[in-house]
Amino acid sequence: MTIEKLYLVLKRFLASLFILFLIVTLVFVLIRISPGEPTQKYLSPKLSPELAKEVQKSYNLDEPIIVQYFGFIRNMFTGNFGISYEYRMPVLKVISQHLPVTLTLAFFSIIIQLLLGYFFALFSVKRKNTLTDKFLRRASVVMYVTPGSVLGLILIFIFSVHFDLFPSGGFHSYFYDELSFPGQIKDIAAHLILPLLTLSLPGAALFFNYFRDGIEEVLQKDFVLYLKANGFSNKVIFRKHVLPNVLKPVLSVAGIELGFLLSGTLVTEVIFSLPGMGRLMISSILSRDFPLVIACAFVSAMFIILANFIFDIIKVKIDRRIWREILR
Amino acid sequence: MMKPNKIKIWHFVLSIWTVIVIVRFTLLVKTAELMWYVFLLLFDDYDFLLSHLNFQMFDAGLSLLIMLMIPLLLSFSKIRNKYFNSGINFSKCFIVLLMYSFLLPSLITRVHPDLQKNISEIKLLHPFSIIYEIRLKSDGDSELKPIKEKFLTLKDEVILKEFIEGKIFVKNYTLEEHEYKINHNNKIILIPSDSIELIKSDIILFGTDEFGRDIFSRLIFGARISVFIGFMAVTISLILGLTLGYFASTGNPFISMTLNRLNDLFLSFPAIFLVILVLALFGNNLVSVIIVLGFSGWMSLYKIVSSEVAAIKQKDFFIASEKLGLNNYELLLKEILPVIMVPLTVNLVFQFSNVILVESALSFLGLGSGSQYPSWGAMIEKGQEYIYEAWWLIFIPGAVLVLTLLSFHNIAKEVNKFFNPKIT
Repeated sequence: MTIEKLYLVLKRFLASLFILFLIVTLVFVLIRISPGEPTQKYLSPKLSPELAKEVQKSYNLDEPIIVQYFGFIRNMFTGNFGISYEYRMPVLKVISQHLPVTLTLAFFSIIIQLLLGYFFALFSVKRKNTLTDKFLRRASVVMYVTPGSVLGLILIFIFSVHFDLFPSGGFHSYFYDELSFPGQIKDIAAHLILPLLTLSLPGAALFFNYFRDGIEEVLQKDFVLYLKANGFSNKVIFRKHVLPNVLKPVLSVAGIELGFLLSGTLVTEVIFSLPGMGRLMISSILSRDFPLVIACAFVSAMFIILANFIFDIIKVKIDRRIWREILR
Repeated sequence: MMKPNKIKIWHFVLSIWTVIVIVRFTLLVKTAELMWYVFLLLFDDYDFLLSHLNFQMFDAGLSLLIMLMIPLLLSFSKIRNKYFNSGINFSKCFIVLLMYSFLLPSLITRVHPDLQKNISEIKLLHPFSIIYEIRLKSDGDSELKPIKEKFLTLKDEVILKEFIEGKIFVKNYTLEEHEYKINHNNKIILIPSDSIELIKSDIILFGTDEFGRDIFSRLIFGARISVFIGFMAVTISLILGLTLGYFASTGNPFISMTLNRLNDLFLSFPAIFLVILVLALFGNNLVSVIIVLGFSGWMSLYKIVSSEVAAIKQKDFFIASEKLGLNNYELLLKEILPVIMVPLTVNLVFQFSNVILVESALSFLGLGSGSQYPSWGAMIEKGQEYIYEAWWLIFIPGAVLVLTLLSFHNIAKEVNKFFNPKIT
């Protein structure tokens, strides 16, 4: 069984590699067939054509596309994505500067989403069909459909413009370096609260619905009644028998959600001017910084695949019977 | 038990129609007159007519036609019972209002979305503020034939204009010895009272933006763009998903495998990234936004179609009709489409709200359908700059956007429930 599991994991790994390769190829082709020349920006029309050729050569853009493509793939396998046109340093270094923000945001956001969804669902199920329950369900639908741009701006308006509680943008204050360590943590936390809320509330509403419907449905099943008749306490029934059943669909959604969070949450990062992957992606696309664009695409696709894989492993841990279907 | 709803959706449609007819009756009559003159000029002076025809003229004629068609359509009991006979609720009402503003924006609001009313005075006015419109006397001595003159005056009255010459909009004015003192473009100017035709007050329902443009009018015309983009993009993804899914289920294994891999590829990648990449590299305008959004939404439709068609092929009724000798085209149209229509409809409604959402995000990032069309996302983005002065720039378009998405979400759920009553 272990060998079969390993085989399936390996197969999935290879399939993921193939998909990553396809994505990089797709982005490469899209970039190269698009009109416009990235070196144009750095060239004055007064320069001689020979010099312009030289600049192109320094960017490796003078060769035919096929040669460029194979050179690029060869470099990629050695972990070299090239040098960013804009930042003038290795692409992976640029990405590693922007990654911490996105990783923090995604990590805390998925935890907040799951916890908020779970506890509100418990709260709501206990008061089934009361006014609170109905209100929570209505509010969760409204929350779920609210776009990030609207939600973020409303939060900024309430908490930073009106009450002046939290800063409206940036990752840390300009006097960050002078603060002591706890002060630094506090500073970053104050900056991250509003973006985290913006990212988490719609997802929390989604998880609330999944948890609530799931718990309600499973509690009506016959096996719960049987366990109750056999004298198991409600706590044990809920923890050992109800929750694993509810978690299955939640975890598949959580995998997708985490993937999207890790690949950079464009609108939120733009609103709160956070230096994360999403803003890096947009700015690199708009400034035609092609090595950076490809690397960003690669990294975000990798994260999506990875996030799905992590949550699949958790699912296997919870329900051991169905690992064949999940890992396939 | 829920009490069956007595008020049907067609009552609501008809009541909105009545309100529009009552409020805009003179305008409708003038539009009809204008159309009559267009008809007369068709025989009289074709070149003159051609130089004056534009999209807005066509739009005015079309809205008159739609206004005539609505009661006519509702009077057919077949149509009424099929589409407009469900009980009323908030989402459906909102969708009806949205459709009205999609079809007849120029009847709902009489202000051009790009009309800048005296920027120095009328910018960033809060909702429900009152302004004064001063109409100057004009000396209209033209030497056209009466029929053409009549045509031009009617056209002036019917069609919304981006720039109005003889009107000045002010917040307040003072009268000093037969001269009106007003502030126009940061200058105090005096207007003798005998050159003024009339002064009337006007209420600005939702306030104005930073260029002194009416937000209500921009919302109504923005609805038109949003719904148009939604319809077109969903149609493109529907056609793509249907054809690709059908091919994947009929064709040889090689095609189906390639398509499945392609589907995985698109699913394991945030679609918005690809959308932004393509729009930034190849330029963004209305057409490219529609095409890109259409192409980015085919995955879920493809999955549904290919799996459903594969399931249908095992069913007895399909095998029987195949043996009866129906050709591929008839099989698709008569046997497959009616069955897959159910999951497709639900998915399409979700897709539609998703397209509106992504379009607003794109306009927010500055990659939308361009600045020549008012767009909800772009309005919200502009509001971000003025968040300290003008809350209504964010809250009003944001509320409309949320209500639209909410209504489509609820409608999709209702459709799903209608087709699968077992789902709670």
